[in-house]
Amino acid sequence: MIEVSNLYKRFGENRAVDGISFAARAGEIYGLLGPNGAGKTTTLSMIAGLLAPDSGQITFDGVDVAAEPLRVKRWLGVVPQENALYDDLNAGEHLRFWGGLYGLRSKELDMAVAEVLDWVGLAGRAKEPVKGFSGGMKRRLNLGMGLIHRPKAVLLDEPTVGIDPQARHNILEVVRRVADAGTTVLYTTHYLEEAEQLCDRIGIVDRGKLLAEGTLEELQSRVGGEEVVTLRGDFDVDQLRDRLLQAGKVRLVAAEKGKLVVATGEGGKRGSVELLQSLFANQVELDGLTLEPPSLNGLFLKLTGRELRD
Amino acid sequence: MRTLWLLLKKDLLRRRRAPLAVIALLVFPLMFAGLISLAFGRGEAPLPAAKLLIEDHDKSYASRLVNGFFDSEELRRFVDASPAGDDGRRRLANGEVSALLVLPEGLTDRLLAGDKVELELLRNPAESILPQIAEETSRTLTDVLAIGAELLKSQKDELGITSLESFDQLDEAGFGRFGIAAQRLGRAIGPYLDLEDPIVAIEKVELDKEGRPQAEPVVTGDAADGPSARTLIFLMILPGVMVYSLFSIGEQMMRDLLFESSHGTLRRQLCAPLTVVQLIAAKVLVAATVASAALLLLMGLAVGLTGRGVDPFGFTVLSLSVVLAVAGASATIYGFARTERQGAAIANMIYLLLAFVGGSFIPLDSLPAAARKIAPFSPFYWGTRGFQDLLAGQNFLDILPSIGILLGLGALLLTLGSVLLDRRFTRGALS
Repeated sequence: MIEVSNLYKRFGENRAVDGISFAARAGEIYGLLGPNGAGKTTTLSMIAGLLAPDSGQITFDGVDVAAEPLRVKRWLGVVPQENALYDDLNAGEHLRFWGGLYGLRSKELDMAVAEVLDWVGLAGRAKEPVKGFSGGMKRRLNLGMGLIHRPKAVLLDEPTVGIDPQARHNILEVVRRVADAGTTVLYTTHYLEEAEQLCDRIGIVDRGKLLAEGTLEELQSRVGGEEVVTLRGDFDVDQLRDRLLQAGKVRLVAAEKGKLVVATGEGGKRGSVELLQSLFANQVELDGLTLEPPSLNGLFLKLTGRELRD
Repeated sequence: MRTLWLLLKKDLLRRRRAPLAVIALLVFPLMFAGLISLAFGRGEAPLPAAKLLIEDHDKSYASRLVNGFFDSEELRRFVDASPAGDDGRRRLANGEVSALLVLPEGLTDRLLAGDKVELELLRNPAESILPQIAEETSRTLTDVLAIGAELLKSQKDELGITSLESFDQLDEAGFGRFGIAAQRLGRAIGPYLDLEDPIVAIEKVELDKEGRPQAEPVVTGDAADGPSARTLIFLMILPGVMVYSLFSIGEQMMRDLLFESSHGTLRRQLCAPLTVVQLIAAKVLVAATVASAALLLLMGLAVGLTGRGVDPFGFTVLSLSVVLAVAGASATIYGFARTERQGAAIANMIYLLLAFVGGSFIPLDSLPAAARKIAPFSPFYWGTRGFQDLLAGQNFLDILPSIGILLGLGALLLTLGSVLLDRRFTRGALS
């Protein structure tokens, strides 16, 4: 099990990771969901032993990463966001090299290479130089390199960014299979659907903080039937906000020039309709209106006032 | 150890798949030395004639023959010979001349008696090509004298010399003609003469800065088997350019550290159970391995051209010293450089400067006196000099100064470079 407690990391004035704590259990896919710059990669880098935290502790099965980095690294498989590949080597050579670094030898290594090539769908392309691979194939090999030594835990940093649906499907399938075999999977993503579809538990992060954590059902229940309504237009934000809040039908999420975000509360869809009627009655001129039904994005919107896609 | 081997194997495999850059650096010294030898090894020789002083203790027929030999028009293009006078050795020590040839007392008598004779040749240590030319010419002279002695003994009638007294009737030009005739005749009949153990030999002596002899006698002369002038120039130029190429190869190998950093592979390797020291050591080993292979190839070619072997122990130790200096210099440069481009620019600038000052491209004797004074501060000087000396037939002990300085400098730079790189890794600047 990976346990992260009170992790802090600052780069100059920027608090990249600001007191994050969570635990990922064996056989579980734990998703860190958040927009770019939320602190996901920095957190993963600290778990992988690449960055030293300013404070806080990371343990793997009770072993402190800072105290015994090499021991913990043997148990970890890391799949970075970028394809860290050598253009002049072929897929088989990549896997042999990485397997060798983790101590695999001779027949054990041969078997692991064949197995991983099969998993990632590159069995017939093992001897082709990587420079001729498509983006999806490179991503799959990138994933395979993190799995070659059968790690106890895999850290995957947005492994499906910028690839075609087929390759994405293959990657998600492999990740699921690895977790089913008892491996702890820590998976960062900014794709809502991916987190919803793949992760057993999800931690929502933004600006270095863990805002919410739980299973998809738990997180959705936090939203309840509440809808989040975003109003855009050249209206007086303060005046409209005060009027809506006084009416007591909505809860304020965020307000800024030209934009007002409110949540409908338990009123749900009906609350949204009443809000629209009120706006119509008060002749508020809108340039745009968005209704976010109960979802992770809705939760993110509710927690931060911003959409994940922003 | 296994981790180091895996890292080394991976990088060597990558180099094998994309060998163009290394090949270019291997071809460069061959092309450079080849072009220089083609340019200077034919037509009107633009090289200055080697200044040779003749210290004559014989003052008899043989010494007149020697003077006549060097007075021939053909030889004057290469060697400017003149009597040494009383201050010959001082002039040599001051670097005013390229070499000094000593004709021992009783030379003529011993030649005519068929006794073995050694002519001492003192070389100016500050010059490279010109003393070599003087030496090679002197070797030809020994052939002439040896053949002349044989001729005098066996062919007196055919040459019209009926008695030793008849030498008195010959003027300087006559001796010159005799020398040339003997040389031509010698070349024609040389293969049939037993010159494997010639009665005249050159005893080459290197001088130190105070003008004291440095080395024991090294070579006996047999000019017929020696390299041609073009080959000689090629061999004089090759070591220097080769050393420059080795440093460039080392730089290129170490640059890979920043390439891997910018491509994410370094970061990924650091996720594996290995240490920063192992990563740095592996890159240094790659640089050392590729430089060693290049060295073997280029020196093999040079040895093949001379037809003479080099001292294997001296070559091995000198090669290790150069490779250590190459790896150390590259590690230090990339300990400072922030980007690949910056590293390459810094390395090229520093290496070019050190190579020019160290006599890698232009022989030291063609450089200004000021440049010659600072040459010993360049590792290129010691590398170039070491390989030149080895090719000239010197051994491990002779090149010990080159080895010592390169080993010391290499160890120092490697330590500095490793500390700098380790610090950058620790700060996360490379990962």
